[in-house]
Amino acid sequence: MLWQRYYRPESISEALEVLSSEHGRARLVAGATDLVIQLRRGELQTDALVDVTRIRSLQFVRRNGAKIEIGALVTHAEVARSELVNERAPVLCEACFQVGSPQIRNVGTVVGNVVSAEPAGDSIIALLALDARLTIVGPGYEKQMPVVQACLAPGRSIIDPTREMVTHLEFELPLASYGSAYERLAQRHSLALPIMAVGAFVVLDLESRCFESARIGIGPVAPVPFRATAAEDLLRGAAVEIPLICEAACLAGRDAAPRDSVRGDAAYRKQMVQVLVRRALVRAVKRAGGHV
Amino acid sequence: MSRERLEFCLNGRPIVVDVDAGEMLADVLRDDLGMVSVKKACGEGVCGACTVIMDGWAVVSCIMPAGRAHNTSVTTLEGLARNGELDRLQAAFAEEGAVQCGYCTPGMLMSAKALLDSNPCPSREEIRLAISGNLCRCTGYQRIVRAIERAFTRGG
Amino acid sequence: MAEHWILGKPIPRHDAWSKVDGSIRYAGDYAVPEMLHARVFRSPFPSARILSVDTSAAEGLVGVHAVITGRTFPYRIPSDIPGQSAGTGQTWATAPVLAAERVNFVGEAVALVAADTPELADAALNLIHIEWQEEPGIFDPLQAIRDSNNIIAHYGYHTGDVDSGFAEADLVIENTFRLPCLDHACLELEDGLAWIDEHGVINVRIGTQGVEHFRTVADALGVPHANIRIAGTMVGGAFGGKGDATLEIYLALLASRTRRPVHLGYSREESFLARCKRHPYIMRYKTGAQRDGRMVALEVELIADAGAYATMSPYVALYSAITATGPYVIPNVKVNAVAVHTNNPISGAMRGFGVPQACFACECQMDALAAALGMDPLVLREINYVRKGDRLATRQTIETEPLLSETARRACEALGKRTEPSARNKRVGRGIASHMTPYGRLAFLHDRSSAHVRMETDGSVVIRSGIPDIGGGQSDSLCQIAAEVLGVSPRCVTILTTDSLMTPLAGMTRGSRQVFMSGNAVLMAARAIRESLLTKASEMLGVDPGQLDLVAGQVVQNTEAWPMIEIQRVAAACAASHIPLDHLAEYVVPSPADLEDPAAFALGIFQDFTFGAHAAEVEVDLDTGEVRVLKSVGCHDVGKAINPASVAGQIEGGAVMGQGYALSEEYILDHGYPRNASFQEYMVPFSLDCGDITALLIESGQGKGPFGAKGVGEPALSAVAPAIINAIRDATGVHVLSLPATPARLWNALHGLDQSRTRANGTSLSMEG
Repeated sequence: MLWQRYYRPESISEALEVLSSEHGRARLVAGATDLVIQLRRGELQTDALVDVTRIRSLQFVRRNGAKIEIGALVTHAEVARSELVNERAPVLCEACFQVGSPQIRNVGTVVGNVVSAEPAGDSIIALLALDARLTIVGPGYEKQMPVVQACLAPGRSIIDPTREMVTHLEFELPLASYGSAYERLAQRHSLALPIMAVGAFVVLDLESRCFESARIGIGPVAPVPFRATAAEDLLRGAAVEIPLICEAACLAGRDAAPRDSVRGDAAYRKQMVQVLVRRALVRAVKRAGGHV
Repeated sequence: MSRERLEFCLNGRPIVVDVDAGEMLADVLRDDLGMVSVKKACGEGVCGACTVIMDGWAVVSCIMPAGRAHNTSVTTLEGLARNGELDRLQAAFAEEGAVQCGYCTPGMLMSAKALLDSNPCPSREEIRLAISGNLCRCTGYQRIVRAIERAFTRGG
Repeated sequence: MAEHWILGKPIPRHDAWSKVDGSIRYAGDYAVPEMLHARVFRSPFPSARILSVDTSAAEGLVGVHAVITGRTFPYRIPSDIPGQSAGTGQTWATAPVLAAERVNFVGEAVALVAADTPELADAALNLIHIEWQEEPGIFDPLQAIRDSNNIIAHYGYHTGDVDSGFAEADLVIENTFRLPCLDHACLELEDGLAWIDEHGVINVRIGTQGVEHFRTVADALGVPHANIRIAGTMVGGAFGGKGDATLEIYLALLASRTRRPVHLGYSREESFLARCKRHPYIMRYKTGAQRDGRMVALEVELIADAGAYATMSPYVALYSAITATGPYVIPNVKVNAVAVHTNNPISGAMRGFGVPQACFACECQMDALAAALGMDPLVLREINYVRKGDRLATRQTIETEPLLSETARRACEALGKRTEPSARNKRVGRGIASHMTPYGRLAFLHDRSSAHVRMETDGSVVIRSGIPDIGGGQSDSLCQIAAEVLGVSPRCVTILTTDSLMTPLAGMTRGSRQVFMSGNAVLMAARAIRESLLTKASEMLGVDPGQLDLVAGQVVQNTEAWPMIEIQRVAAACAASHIPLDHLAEYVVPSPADLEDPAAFALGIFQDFTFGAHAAEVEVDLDTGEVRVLKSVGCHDVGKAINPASVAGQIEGGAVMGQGYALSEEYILDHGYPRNASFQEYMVPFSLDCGDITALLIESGQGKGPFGAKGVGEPALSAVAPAIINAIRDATGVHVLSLPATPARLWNALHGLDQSRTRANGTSLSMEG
């Protein structure tokens, strides 16, 4: 038996109570798309599942001032068709839209993807570019944590689903002109983890035609989520032009340093980092109103 | 080993079933409720042969804990026909030659049904997208796409 | 000749309705009360000796009813081709049902358990203790071939003198092609149920390509053949992967030992591990040609990786050897084909059976030659195509007009206007490949198929045939043939199939043989009944039987098409006069010679070929190496399409399977260890990976099947992968020599060397992908 007991709490406090009463023997689950496979393979064990999909208060996609907040139960499909996210953070929409298949997207949650900490997880890569944060609640505490810190190792996040739960994720949108884009390369167009994927978020000063800032998330290139900080530093304050973007892409490729894998040798994957970073930056710049 | 009681709507009828803990929805549908159109072919939610419709959305049932179905509305292929009459999709699949070995057919029909219920006039691209989680090794997808087109252009 | 009234119409298949309403039952959809659950213990190593086996703990587990090992069940299956009612005596090798002394591939079956529940069966597996001694294995066929003990079969033939051919050639090019291991990836997993019935017969219900395995099962168990029944179900895809006797023996053995019903079903991972694979091939092609495009010499070396046991490999090697030259006239030819043992998974039958591999190399070589000559690939082919009356290099004469030029031209034309590249970094290219793919068995195997047809007293019809239906419309085509001949609506035709005890044996569903063989058997049976009907009708009507026809339930006068009397009444009248309206027919293929006879090749080792072509248009992303197939067209001479929708369905399905072969599928083995035994990692195309496919059918009526039909199941696949690879060459100048052309491989080929064009002196710079 993969589990012995199954709970269906209807509120956050009820969920935390159940987890507490099981003393680490129960595990939170939403879409379960990753969890069931991990349980079957023996990568994880649990005595009980705590199905939180009935907690209505966790199903929201909303604007809160300068922030966009996405509840823990929002599925990839819901993000992909959200007008709000499409308009403001298309990098996340594009990423969510390409996860798995329609069936997987209909139940798998974006937050769940973060907790699964898959290095090739599309939404994680996009959330890196958005500098997103998670809000985590546990018995008697609530804390915030950047997504980039939440993933500790492939398959292991800092969140302990036997004790605490994520309520939502959020990211801030700047006042200035901004744009984002997601680029993905895979061996087929559905149900394949990416060979390489890049999420880019840029803020431009349109008057001076310069980058105010850029964030570039790349995966899978490292055991933990990777931000191409050297490339980001190069772009900060610099003129928006193709040669610079190419140089940034080069730096990203150098720093990402992917290794050989069944999906491609190291030289190829490194080159693909460059190609995808360039493409993502160009599209993000265009969405921000810039010209290249 | 504990059991749990599930109550949900299956193919338009309310049902109550006691299931073993640790079971997936696909197993409950097949083994406890006789819905053998739900096929298990990969165990990873990749091939889509186990696709059912839950609250209007196409989902894979082989990696879905059975408890998730509680208080939901689930449709399998057995529930597609109404009063003994085939749904226009079923007729279109048969007439268009979209069925070869037939193993992917239940899952395909579920994905197609979910599509047409939310998008009555999909483009060819949208159709291909809707079935992009359903593996077929026989047909090359060609006639399946055509059958879905035929189903909604014909009306009914 | 009057047009057919129902044959050749794309009517919905009779089996489609139960598939769309969910009422159909596949093997895994059955359960019986109190059935036991079986599991197979499989080798974790590619090469190891079994030093000791201790099953005592497993046997002692409460709820475990049987544990069987190779020590207690040492039977070895001979590598013969089952399904032939005349034993051919061609026993090449044997393979153990359960490994006893050593294992030769990862996943090899070592022990069987049967228990009350699946969980107990799993627990029993974990309690089997085996002491292993790992041994070095061989995984590279080129290494394996150095030891003659590893060579399973060797076929060679030649015509003319290749050395002088090359000497006189204006241009010589040489390439080595490598093809990977592939899995059938059929959707339905292996699954079966066995029980002993009230007659003491061991029944096995299973989705299989051949019920004739009952003989193998009976021999394995040491019981009379009449004591085993294989009850085949509709198969959820096979493509050659469900033709070996595996589950049947396990199930029958366990049912026999426990005297309880036993169920066995594989997981997807187990299916990947256990099932045979498509032969990986290494193929060296050396072609000499004149400036004007005439090929004058061809030397081919084929090395097929047979994997751990011989099984089908000698035949696969033979098929590839014979089709290695392609459908071309070449005066000087030398072909050598070898099948070698390795510790990779067993290579067996997979759609095409060695022909797609040979076709790939041959057709890519043709395009390489065209590039070297600066010639259009289609024009080059047309200069060299065989025609009626020409002889292949095996000396077999082509007896009918192979519509090679017509199929190739029509396929090309159907690509339409060349698509413009969608971006600056993309290139569009077009490619073509021609094929000759045999249908029907090797001639010397004395193939035969039986069918029984009976018209009821009310005019409805029952067909009984052992034919397994693997989804290609095999059983439906028999209904449509009988309906045509007997003038009966297909709705009034019931067909019972796939039962080794209850239906006449029809041979296996493989080799694209069933429309040909069983179609002819049903045709013979139906015609005998038709004759009786027409004779009786003639009596009743006072009209010459030659003037009568049977159409849509009526006897009609064929000049006027007036319905004159209902067939039903004629049937009833026959019954009243004791004129039998049932007939058992056996269609036997004339077989001129045996394989050992040197003349065999020349007399025609295959009954016939299906000729055709595939054309593809692709778009290549130069920055990433990704390839999109924009258009895919298959044009084949199918002889006669019994049901055009079914035939087109084969071509469309073959187009996508071929695309997977060309671009994404590979069963990755690392020193014998599988690395991607899952659908997540084994890259079969989904709907977004494919575009629209056009199937063009030419019906020359020249086939040996009913109404001139030819087989199409395998021919639909042969030319697809090379057409795509040739299109990539057209787009980029790169000759891809090994499959799959994944983005990484193609990108490396694009950026590896400065240029990959064939030089003027004929030496190709084509790189291995």
